[in-house]
Amino acid sequence: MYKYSRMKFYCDENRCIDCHGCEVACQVGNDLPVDIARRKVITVNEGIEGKEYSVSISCMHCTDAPCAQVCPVQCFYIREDGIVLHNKDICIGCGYCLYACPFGAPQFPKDGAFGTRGVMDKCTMCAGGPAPTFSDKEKRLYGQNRIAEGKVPLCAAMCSTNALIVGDAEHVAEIIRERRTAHGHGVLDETPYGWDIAYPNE
Amino acid sequence: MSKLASLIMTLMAFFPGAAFASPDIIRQQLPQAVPHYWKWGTLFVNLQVHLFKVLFLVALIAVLVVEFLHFVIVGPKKFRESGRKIKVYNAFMRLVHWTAALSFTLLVPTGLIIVFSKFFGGDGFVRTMRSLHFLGAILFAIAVVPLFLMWVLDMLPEEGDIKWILVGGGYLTKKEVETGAGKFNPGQKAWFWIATGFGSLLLLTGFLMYLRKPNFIIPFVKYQIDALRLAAIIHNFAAMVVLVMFLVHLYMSLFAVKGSLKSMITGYKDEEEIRYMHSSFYEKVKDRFGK
Repeated sequence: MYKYSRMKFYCDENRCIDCHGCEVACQVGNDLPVDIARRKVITVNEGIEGKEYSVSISCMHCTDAPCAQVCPVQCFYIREDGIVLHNKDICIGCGYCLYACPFGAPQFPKDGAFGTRGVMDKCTMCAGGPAPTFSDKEKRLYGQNRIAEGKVPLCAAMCSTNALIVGDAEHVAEIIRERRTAHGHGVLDETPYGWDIAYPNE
Repeated sequence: MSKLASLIMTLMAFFPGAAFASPDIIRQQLPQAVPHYWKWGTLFVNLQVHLFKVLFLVALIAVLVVEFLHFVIVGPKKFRESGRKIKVYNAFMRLVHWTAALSFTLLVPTGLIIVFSKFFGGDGFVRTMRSLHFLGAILFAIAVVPLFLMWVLDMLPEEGDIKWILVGGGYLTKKEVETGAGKFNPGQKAWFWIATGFGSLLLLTGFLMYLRKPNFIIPFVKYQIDALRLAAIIHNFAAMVVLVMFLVHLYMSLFAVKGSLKSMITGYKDEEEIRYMHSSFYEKVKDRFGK
């Protein structure tokens, strides 16, 4: 479908130890306000023995991203490598992207009169935003642009168990395949958490 | 104890600052809510992408075209002034009416600007309109209860309403016909019920969306994010109905019936207008003229 690479997140629930390190790395590294968490570790089947596992989720940078479709100002744009970004200068903070998002990724810091929603904030896969690359404005509004520096996003870079990996879809799939085979689980029998919703056609 | 806790949570939700300290239920429910995205999430996306904007535009244009045609073909109703007047709206009614009127004048245009915000370029202008939309909602919240209580008895259906519907409210002809309506005609009654009923629905769903992280139990909905999606869907559809009725009301009071704006300002209506437009009401009050 895509001629070039297609960036994806993958969180290996067999490896995630619920340490919340990715959350902290993202929040501190991108100078986010306290009530904003672009990435969140959630625990599924909590308390059920054998079935409990944790995954770290954030914006999944969906193909045909529903947030981009519903935005009444069309402030979203999808890069050629599949990273979904948005323009905070145009965003009106209506909240529709949050309703459209399967993963609850868009966040709204309180702002302006009456404590109404400010403009939306979400994971940029550490790829900055529409402001000039490495400018102060980009850093202030969207956080670090580690992709432009040739680095892995903060969350995946710090993950101590390598549960959270990010990169070109083919390479990510290869790593998952290797891990499954090594553990004797056979080939990938089920899609990783949320992938069937984020990337329905791939 | 848990009931007390949920009550406190509900009360906390009414103070914007509280949402900061309270847990983010939307995120907590994510593991359960993500697999159910196909239900309300997909519905909301499809409606927002394909329907809402188109319907708003069609409704807006259709109403304006019908009003324009009516104005050109039938023209405004004008009654001979007899000079004999009675008071139909007291000061309280007029105050409440104009508060509600101000709120709608704020809400409807700003709402349309939010719907067509791409056309207006987004940015600070539309963000200011969103604040004004919120201000209008506060005004409406203040006005809606007295508005409902002061007129609810007059707005119940009456026998004369059938005749009014059969003669098209007397609006389809230039001639003066007795419409059979009481103090309020069925058109006014429809607007009353839509303004208060759909208005309250809009207020409720709008408040839910304003909270953005509703931290209290919402009946019938399993996940908070679905409540927000449902609120957005209901808000859009109800807004379309209110938009149409508001524009009709505006046209009627400003252009279609001469003197109706004046009567809502002064509170007095002329005998001639009541005799034809509210004929069954006229039977009741005709003794009061000319005193």
